[in-house]
Amino acid sequence: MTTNAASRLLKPEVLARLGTLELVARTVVDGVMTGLHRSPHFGFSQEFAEYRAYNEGDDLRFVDWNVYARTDRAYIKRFQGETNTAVMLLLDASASMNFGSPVSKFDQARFLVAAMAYLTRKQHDALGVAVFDSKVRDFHPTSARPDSLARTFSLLERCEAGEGTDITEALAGLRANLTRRGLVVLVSDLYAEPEALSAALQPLSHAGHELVVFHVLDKEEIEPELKRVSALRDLESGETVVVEPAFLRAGYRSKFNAHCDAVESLCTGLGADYVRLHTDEPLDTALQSYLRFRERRAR
Amino acid sequence: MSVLLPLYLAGLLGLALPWALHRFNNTNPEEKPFPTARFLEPAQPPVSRKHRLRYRTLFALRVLALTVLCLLFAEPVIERFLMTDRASVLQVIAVDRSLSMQAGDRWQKAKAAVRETIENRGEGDALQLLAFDSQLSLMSEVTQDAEIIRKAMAGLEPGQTHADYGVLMQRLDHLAAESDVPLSVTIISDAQRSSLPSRLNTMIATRLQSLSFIDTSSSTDINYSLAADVRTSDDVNAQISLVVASSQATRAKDNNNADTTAEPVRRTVVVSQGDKVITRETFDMVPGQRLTRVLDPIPLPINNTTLFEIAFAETDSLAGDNALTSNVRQSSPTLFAVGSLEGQVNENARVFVSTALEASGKVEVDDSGNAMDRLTSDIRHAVIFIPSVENYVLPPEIAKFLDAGGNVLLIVATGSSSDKNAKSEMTGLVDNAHPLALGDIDWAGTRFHGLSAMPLKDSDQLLVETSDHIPLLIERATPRGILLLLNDALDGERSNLPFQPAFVALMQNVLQYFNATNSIPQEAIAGDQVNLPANVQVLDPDGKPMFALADTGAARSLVFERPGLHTVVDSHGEQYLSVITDPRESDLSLLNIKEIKAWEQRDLSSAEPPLMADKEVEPSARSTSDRQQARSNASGMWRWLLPLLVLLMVCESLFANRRLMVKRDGA
Repeated sequence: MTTNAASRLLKPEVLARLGTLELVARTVVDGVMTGLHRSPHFGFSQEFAEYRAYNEGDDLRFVDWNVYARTDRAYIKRFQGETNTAVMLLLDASASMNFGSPVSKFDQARFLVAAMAYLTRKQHDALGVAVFDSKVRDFHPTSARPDSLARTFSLLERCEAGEGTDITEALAGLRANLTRRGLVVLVSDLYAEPEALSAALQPLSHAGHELVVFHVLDKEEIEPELKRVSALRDLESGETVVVEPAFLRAGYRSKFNAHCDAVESLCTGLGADYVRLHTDEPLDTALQSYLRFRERRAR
Repeated sequence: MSVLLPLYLAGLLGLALPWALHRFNNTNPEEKPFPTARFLEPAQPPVSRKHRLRYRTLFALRVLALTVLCLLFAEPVIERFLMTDRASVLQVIAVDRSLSMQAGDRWQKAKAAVRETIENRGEGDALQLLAFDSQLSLMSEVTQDAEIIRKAMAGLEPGQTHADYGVLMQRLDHLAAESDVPLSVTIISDAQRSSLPSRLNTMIATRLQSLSFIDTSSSTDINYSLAADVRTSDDVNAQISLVVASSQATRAKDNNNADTTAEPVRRTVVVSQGDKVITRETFDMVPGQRLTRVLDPIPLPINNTTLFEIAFAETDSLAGDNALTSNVRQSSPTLFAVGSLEGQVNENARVFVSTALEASGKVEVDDSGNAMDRLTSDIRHAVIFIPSVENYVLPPEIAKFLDAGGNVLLIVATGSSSDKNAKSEMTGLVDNAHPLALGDIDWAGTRFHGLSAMPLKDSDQLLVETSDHIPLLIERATPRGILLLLNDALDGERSNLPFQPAFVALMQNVLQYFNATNSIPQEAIAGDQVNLPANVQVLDPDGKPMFALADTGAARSLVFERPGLHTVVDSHGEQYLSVITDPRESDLSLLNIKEIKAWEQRDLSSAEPPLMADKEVEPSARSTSDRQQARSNASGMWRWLLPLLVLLMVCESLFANRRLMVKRDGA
């Protein structure tokens, strides 16, 4: 698969036409990995970390035959990253996520979560997923069981964007279930006060979790355009505000950009990785960012 | 501008629809979903929504299209206005001045009707006086000065000719078409039934705004008319035939039948010459009766007077047809000169020609050796033998004879071949359309051999040729007179034509052709046009010439309006032309009231009985007559509105589609 073809397949509107999230995930991951393997600049490496005894069912490609020849015992090479990291994927399913084009933020987030779930299991890490809005709606604890990926896909397939957002409440509810240190990936549009976000994320950071924050945004909320006075209805609260086009071109953008900057700064301050993801952008950029984060963490 | 069907303007209320659609479709701000309102600020101060039209250009196109559509159905017209006088209506008064208007008090009634029409005209209406009989004459210009009309009417008198309502209506229709203002017509006439045209649809004038008819007839009018024919066959006695007819001014549809219930009235016809009464003849007549009587032969006077005055002894309502002067018509044969300008005529040919011409008994042939000397005197027709026509030049004697109005049949004996063994040819081309009626002649048995080709001029008309394309009979154009050339010596040697029945028929046809073409009629009806040959002068009954000297050289036609005995003088002498009154004017039977009303309403089929079945109306006249009156006098704008409407609809569709596409892309 060429780079151009992979990029084309990773476009959100293309992924939206795929039948299932599993297929989406495979497409995204395989496309990214193929591109990664052909890229001379990719810094991801698989360095040998340790041996472990061969168990029935392990991939024979990773058997160190030199050791077998010398010892008559089969050992599996284990590389950096294959350390059974617990990855918890948090998907924001609030009503504000149901906005955007060519695909909604929620769909874009689901594609990303599905791809990361697939990648997680491909790397033999434990996978967990939680869907929340004002509270946690669905939760699968991290697990390395073979069916964890299928269960994750099933959850992602049936979930829909719901009500209002309360990240603080939702993450507070999750903290108790995240007993094992690992990687926490938050995919959300982060419509909360920076202080509330800080209050939600800081405990996780203090608990030793590695944080990755994907800030999902749509072009129309970043730079909205109106031709005439319009009444804009808040998708979560239902509040309607009549605004003038001139305000959206100036006042709104400055406020919005300030919020985004505040959020980014907050995440950076917590040591979390912050990635902005637009609904009209292919997922390879986001996934590459995630992989680079994993690489840095492994070193 | 005005509209003919204003009800359709109610459709303009539909303009409220596009206005409402464009005006009110954005009363409330458009509501759109947005992820969060936390960064939004309500518009300050509270929005006082400016109600304005959206898509103004599209709105304008739609409004314009609807307006044009309504106007199209309402049929706006631009009424033409008089540049001068600012008249709103032109009141035309058409006065009948035919012969019948002399009857009784009709003319006095007509004058009174004119005065009344002038007094009752509308404010600002212009006036014009016309007089009609067989033609329409302008008696005044368009004016708002009633005095001009009165003076014009004072100088008008009824004439001697016949009235034709068809001609009148067609001229009025044409006048209305050229007028800048609507034409309102008042016809003042005696409603004579005989004035109806033979083609009734000519009475339909659709461009008139209104038509009213003032009937000046009187039911008490009774008229007796007289016609006579005086002939002699022996120049000793004159035979007079009289036709006497009576007519009463009734409104019955058919006044041809005599009213046998009425008491007969005795009428006396007096025949005189000068002061001497020759004879009297009495007739007992009832209205509607027509009697013919041939009087006993009357010896012609020794003084060679051939004129007879024939008149009623009594008077009646219409005196114009009560007397006439009739000339004795000579039943004398037509003179033909047969001869040759060079040498002797072949004896056989002379006999053949003379015999063929005299076959009808109406021709006297002078084939003596002195015949050619008479060409310039009293002979009008000649058969002349010549050996050839060299270089298209006629002998000067013949040219002179033709210039004097004579008619010549040239027997051209070209060539010398009398070889009977030469190939025999039949007749080929025969011009059936020529007045010689050559197609009626049986040429079957004729054979020609040894004819020589006869050169033709460009202006020659080939009438008969042989089957090998040798011209046999041609007519050569001449300024005056008729010149026929026959390419056959008629000696019985080059052809068998003289022995065939075709030859006699040919000569008789030549005789008729010569007689008909430039003969002068002996009788004409007042008002009719008579064609006269060149080089004639006409003297009226008072002996005054009717042509200027310079005008006598060309053939012309003349309308004889005055009844009486006219004299036509030409190079061959004088002859009388009797102009009589039109017998149609003698019939006083009238149109009934319903017929007149139907005429005024321009619906001849509504008369009782119908003056004209609807199917008789020409399609164009029917469709035009169905229109409203004002429409016929106005300039309809539908020719401009309809293409404009189509253009507007196309622009609206293109513009609307473009806006929709923009909106779709924007969404």
